[in-house]
Amino acid sequence: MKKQKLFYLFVLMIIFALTMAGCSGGGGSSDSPANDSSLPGTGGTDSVSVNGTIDIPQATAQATALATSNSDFEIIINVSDFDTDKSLTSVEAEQISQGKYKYTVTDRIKPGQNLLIEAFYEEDKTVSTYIPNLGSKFSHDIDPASTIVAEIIKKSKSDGTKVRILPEEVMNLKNKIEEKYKDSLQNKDDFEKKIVEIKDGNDAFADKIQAEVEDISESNTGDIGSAKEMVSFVRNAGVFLEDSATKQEVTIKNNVEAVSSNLGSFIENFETELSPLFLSDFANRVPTNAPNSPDYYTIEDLKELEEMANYPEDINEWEWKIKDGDNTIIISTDAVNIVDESTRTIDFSSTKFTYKINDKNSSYYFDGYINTDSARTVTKTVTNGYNEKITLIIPEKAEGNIVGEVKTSNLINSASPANINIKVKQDSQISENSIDGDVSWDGKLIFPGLITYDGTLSYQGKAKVVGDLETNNIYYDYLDIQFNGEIKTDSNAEAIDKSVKIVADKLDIKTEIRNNIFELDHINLTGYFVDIPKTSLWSGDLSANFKGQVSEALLTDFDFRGIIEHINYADLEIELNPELSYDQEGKLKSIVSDINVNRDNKFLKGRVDATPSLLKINLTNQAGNEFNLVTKDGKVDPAKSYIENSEGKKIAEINEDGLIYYSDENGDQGEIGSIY
Amino acid sequence: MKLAQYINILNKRRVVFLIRQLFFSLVMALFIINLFSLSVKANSVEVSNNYYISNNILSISEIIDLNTEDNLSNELKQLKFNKFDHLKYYRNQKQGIKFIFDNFAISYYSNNNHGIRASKQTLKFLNRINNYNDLNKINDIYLREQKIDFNVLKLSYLSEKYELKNIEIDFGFDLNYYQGENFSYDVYSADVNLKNSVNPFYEDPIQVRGNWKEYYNLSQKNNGFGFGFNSEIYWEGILFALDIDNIGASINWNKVKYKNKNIDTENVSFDQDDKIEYNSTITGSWIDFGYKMNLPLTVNFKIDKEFDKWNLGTKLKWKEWRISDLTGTDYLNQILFVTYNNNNHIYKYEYDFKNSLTSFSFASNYFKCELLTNKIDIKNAQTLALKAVFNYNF
Repeated sequence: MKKQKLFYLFVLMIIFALTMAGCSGGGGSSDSPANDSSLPGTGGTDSVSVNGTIDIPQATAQATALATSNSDFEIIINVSDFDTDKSLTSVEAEQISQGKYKYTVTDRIKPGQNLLIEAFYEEDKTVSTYIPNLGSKFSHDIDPASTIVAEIIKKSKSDGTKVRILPEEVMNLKNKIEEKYKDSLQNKDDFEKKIVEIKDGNDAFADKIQAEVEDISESNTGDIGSAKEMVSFVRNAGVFLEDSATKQEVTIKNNVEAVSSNLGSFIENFETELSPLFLSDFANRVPTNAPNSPDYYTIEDLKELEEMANYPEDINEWEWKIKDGDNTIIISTDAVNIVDESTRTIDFSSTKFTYKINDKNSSYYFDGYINTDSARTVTKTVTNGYNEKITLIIPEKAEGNIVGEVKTSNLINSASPANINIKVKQDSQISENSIDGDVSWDGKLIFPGLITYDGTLSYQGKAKVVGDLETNNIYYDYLDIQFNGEIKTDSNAEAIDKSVKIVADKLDIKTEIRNNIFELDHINLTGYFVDIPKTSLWSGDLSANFKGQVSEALLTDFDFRGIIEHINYADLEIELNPELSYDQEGKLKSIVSDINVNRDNKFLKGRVDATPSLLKINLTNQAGNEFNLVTKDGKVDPAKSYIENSEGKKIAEINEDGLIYYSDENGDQGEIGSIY
Repeated sequence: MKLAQYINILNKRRVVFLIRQLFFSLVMALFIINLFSLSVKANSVEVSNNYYISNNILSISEIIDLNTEDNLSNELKQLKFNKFDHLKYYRNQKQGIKFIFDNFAISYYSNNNHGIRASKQTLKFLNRINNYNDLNKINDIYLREQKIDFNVLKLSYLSEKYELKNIEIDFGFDLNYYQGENFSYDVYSADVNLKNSVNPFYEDPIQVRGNWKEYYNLSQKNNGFGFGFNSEIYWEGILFALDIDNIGASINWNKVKYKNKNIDTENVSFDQDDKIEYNSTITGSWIDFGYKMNLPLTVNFKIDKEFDKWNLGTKLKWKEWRISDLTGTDYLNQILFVTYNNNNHIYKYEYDFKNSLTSFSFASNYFKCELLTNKIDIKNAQTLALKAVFNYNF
């Protein structure tokens, strides 16, 4: 039934806000990380244990003999399922002191069970306790007060009440009993007399408590209690998750942002430093040392050259000097084997050239060599200064390596130069007016030293250049640098821990070079935090992997994994493995996560899958209840949102406004609650 | 122009409904005719449409701007209120067909009712949302809305005129069968604090404490019965007419859902170990049950006297409550009227001095129409009723 209600003006504002919060909260939800087996109480095993103390009421002086015998008496604990009356197991209690024992039960019990635990201290006399919804926070101690509560609950059941009572409600009853009977509980005879009175229905106060049990059970019918309890925990966990995940996300995002902005400018500097190496591209610019020539000739020039202006005196020593901006490049070869005096032929087809940029005293220099090697050649005839004709054999397709050392003071803190090994692969075809073909660069940049940039950055990587060559314009399609190293930065303003260290598995940098200018297109960063960013509320190992594109705005995806604890809640533990991804505008695109929340021996396990418009949550608790919630654009999809008990019976439905309808057994009345 | 459009829209909405009802009525009429083995001859049929809308704040033109059919309460939020008072809004539409025989009549009417009552603070709150101003705390927001749609099949018996000396008396009985079509009733109440920060985890929270009770029918098979009595006494040119309807009348709504919800955004509490617990923002209960809804008794009393072509008289109309206002008080019209008859063309003027309502009507043998308003300047009126009846004799 469609209803548009003014009330939503009130409710929707809140629900909307909370749904948004719930979304990210759900996203913040978590899962057991790989090493969950090492974590106590997590990992979703169904194991649960019961342990507590037993106080046997002590006899008065006249019955000391019994007390004495008590000291040798073995106390047998019988554990049974209260709802089915099935005996589950029995264990022996261990004596601590006179009349005081302790016991532990670990086998054959399951979370969510309602247990009756009876300790036989005489043949047919017991002290006992009723443990509702095993796994909830509840005292397992057995004493006379717990016995009276258990007796009243037992009596309610035998009088036909379907007992449904929450742990805190049992606690309340126990407090009332303790207050009322504080005198008669100390003495064994009084206690046993009281038990008989209660069993026979001769105790007015016990009758009142029994009526209370019946009232409570009535209002908790039809799994309402169980469903309500689960929702309450889901709600609490949701708020905690939201709180933890958003805080973690913000902290990590700030850290990555700080690191990546530093990294971005580092990379830019790095490229500026390296660019002369790539721009003084030997493969395309065969220089001459002609005094009245321009700084260099291109291969194209060479092709057109009818006369070599200045044939060197020593035919075996060839040297070209190139001025490229502030850098001077000298390419030389001894060329011993390339000159055939008899035929006046120079063969450049397989020659090793020395390749130097600047001298060693410069702040930037490169010292290396170039090999060219080509099976196919073209022949050109040129005339030298003595009017002699010389035949040049030029590689039709040039292939080679640039190998050498580079030093740049701006980048490398250490005095030791970096090794550079760049493979040059040229596949160019000389034609009438232009050179058609591809030039690809394939090599490795190795910086063994430390590079300091707002901290310590150690860099180890390889560079790969693949590009096109068109006439004189160099156009590199992209420059791909992989990064293996650590980045340290102190400038992460929001980080609590100031020295966040990021290990980057992979750093892809895409640049474009147009008109001899490097333009940074983006940086793809894949890495993880070495030290986990901490928030003030949460502690624990929540490692964060991040991957994605970094440019002006931080664009990256996070992948948390780990366990965190709230510093104020020692028993709250949240396991997370959410994957957070962002769109081009830096908005959260999706969250996918497994969830494992533990608190007070209650747990929620499941999965959340969220986008801004779609949220899917599936959770199972310690009692086997299953919570399903699907929302589309903030509206709950009622067909897919419900709570089922462990038998697969629907025990609550969630309507499109996020209201939960708990039904009683007949299904014609119940209670209403909200998710948030 | 707007009014015409509006009525047009309303009528379009009702066309399908009317056709269905006309068909049903025809079938019933044929059945009745058959029942009386043609010994009873029908002599007229009339089709009527009566539309009534009233409130104390908005002008008719403003109401026309709103979609009154379903979403008035929702659309109210678009309005900028100039006047803050307790809003009372009623809408009623009654349309149907009536076959009149010698001593019998059978009629079938649909009856749609919509009523809203809202506190002054509710309008302030809506105003606050629509037109930001600095009202931080608004208490006593209260809004009640009810919609009741039902149909009535009425079988009427009208006696012969009995003469006692110079007094003529006749009387009639009605048997009413009600079909409940739709029923909803909502009561919202809230206190809103727009600024106080109560929840530590949201930056700009508002605090709301409120309650919402709602009832609505789930079953389509709802019915009930009631009776009517009427009598006319004619004495020396003076007519006394009494008409009592909905005697012992009720509709049994077979399955009504009741929800009672409380909202409290201050839902953070601390448990025994001083740990934060986040409680349900909305809590409540629901139940499905059968609901017997009594219908309000109505009594109409009229005295008039003819003077040649003129007729002068007074009317008292009393309703136990207005059907669009379930918990409202009784409603009385005290009317003086005058009619002028010109060759069976009857012109009538009425004034309800209890409610300051003026009415003009015209009737001929085939057609009757009536316009009722609290202001002659209809655009700025708060109450408007239109009635049209077509009559055919055969």
